[in-house]
Amino acid sequence: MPKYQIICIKGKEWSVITTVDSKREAREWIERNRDKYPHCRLNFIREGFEPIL
Amino acid sequence: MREAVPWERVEWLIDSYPEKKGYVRISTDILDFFIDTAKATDSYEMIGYLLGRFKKVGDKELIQLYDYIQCRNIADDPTREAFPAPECDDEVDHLFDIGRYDINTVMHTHPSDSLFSVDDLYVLYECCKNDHIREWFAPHFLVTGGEIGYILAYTNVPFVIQFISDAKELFVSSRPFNEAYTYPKYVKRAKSAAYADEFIEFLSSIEWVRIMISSLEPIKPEPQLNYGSSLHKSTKEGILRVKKLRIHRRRILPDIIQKYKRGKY
Repeated sequence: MPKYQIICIKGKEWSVITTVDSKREAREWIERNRDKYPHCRLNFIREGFEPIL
Repeated sequence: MREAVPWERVEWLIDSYPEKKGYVRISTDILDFFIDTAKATDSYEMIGYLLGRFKKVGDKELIQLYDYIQCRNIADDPTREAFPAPECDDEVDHLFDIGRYDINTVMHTHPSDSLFSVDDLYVLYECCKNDHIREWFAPHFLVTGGEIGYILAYTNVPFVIQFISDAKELFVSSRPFNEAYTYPKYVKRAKSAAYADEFIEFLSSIEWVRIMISSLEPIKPEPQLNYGSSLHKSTKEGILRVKKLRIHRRRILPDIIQKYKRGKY
């Protein structure tokens, strides 16, 4: 199964915060940690893919 | 059976977007399919065909997509790629043979909000390069199921998509992929994967659109502010609006009373 990267998007820039094992984990991680990254638009992508900006 | 709408409902787009070459109309049924697919898509990619009719007007091409077939994904790793099962192609062939449709295009999903891959663009390239097979320009579609959820469409000619839903109509104009932030990365990846030069050149001709699925969903009506028992006391919005109204009354009423006393009413 592919891993999912939690990413922080700021305008046209993005960076990987962490990697999780499933889509469900990715959704839950974002829900738990949204407040810790107020300056980011949090999203997740499969490893090896590019986000849609 | 779903039917095409009269071509006049698409043809007027030519005057509104004369610089484009392709004009696509997508019906409510397809939109619902996109929205449901995006919500349902989990770790596996899904694939299907959108079906409809096309018409040429000079050098312009008009397309209506108003039906779909969901296909079984037979890829070795369906979490990373999608290939339709042969029986799905047979079904499309049959529908073409009996004259129900004359155009089809590919729609697949990504479980996260990730852009089409180099391989996805190669599939488009393969479809485009055989001119004797490909008599139309129909864009390929990608639906993503991440935090936001997008519909992407991409092909090798400038185009406009008219999304028709019960709630609204949206027109989205394509833009060149070679102006996208990620284009240089795609060229680099294609070169390192030893794709043919012709394909790398093809990448520069790609046009794409991106639309958030939420923008196609019906707008929820504002809670109505009514007096009496129908007041939306249970919603935060309703309570807020009642508070604002009370403050407004407190401010306005004394002015009216003063004016009344002065005989201006």
